[in-house]
Amino acid sequence: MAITVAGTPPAPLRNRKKVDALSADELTALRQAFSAMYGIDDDRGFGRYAGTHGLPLPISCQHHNPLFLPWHRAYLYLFEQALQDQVAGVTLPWWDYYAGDEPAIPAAYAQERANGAANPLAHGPITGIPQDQWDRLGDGGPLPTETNRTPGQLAPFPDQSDVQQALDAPTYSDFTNFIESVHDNVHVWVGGTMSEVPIAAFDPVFWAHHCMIDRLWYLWQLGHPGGDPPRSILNTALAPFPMTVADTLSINTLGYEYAAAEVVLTGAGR
Amino acid sequence: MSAAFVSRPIALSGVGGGFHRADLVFHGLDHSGPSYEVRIFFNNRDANADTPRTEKEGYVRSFYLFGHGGCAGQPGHCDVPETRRPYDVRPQHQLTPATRWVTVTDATRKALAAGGDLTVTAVPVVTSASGAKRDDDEDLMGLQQISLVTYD
Repeated sequence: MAITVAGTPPAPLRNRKKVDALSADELTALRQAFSAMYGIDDDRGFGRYAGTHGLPLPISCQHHNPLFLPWHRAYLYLFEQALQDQVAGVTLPWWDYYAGDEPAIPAAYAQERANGAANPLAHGPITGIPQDQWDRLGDGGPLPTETNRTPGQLAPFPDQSDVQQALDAPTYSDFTNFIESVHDNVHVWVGGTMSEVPIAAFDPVFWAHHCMIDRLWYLWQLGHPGGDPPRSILNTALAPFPMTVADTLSINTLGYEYAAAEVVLTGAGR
Repeated sequence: MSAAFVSRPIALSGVGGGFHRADLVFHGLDHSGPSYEVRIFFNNRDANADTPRTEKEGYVRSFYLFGHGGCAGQPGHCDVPETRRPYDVRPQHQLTPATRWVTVTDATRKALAAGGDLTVTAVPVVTSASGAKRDDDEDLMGLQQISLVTYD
């Protein structure tokens, strides 16, 4: 007996790749997507997404509680969708913290210029923050119009053993505690705009940093089947996103996968 | 320089030596202000931000807290409610004080081997690009307590 299954087959998963392994074309596409979002001042634009994490109010990010990982997974997912609205097929890359002998911002994000123009991954525009909200923060100086970094000036980089300790953690609460500590340390290490919540997400490297944290959660999940967040929060909404904690538990359900690199083989090889 | 937290001496006599992991648990960390580093010292009650981070000075390790950066709202905006009303299903306030634990197994073993009590000093050091946004003498961490937890 033949069984006919209606509907279309699932679309292939997208691979999020290591920043340093992006091909020239992939990197160009990523830069084009960021640039396109910088140029949009409505709710499809970069300012809306970066501002969701911090200013303008309300500050929606979740830190120092069990929602930290799910909230940021949802955040990355929706930002990546917005990038893809601008340039089809673009995926967020992840920052391999320990790729080099010394800690460093990935070259793709550190270079001031790329392809004969200002590199859109080196700085992000800071927009949409009301002056009075910025002023209330205290002595933060004038509201900046662009992000900046001071790598290594405020803190040493977290040791690789700190990441391994997180990956070896036996429970979700233990993992999120240790990995958020690594996360906090990297924010401070990057310095500048990244060193505090209100404007951190305006720095393009924020997204590569959080992609690495999300990847590490995924790797931990692979090693700890069933290691979900507490059942009591699975149905918690991740405001302002239309998702709950449970919606974030499978990255494959969200349509992506983590890879080191991807080489597309095309054409007739003979 | 923000105030350090100095614990009362912890009697290690009740801590067996057979543990495979020892954690210091920091309860009630304030993360509403600037980002900061917490430097942990064992048996150095006078440690401060200028104390060298060396084993000789009792330095164990540091951890960092990514700070909310202050309050951008009007007065009361960032006040954490002390109680929750019945039927209030909103998530807990974002600035609910945090709990963070760090593993200090080797340092605890050494303190145990040395005998005597253990005093833990936690020294906060602001690590935000915009610098300290609080009075120097303000309690940046707001720590409620530190506990030492060992696992067999």
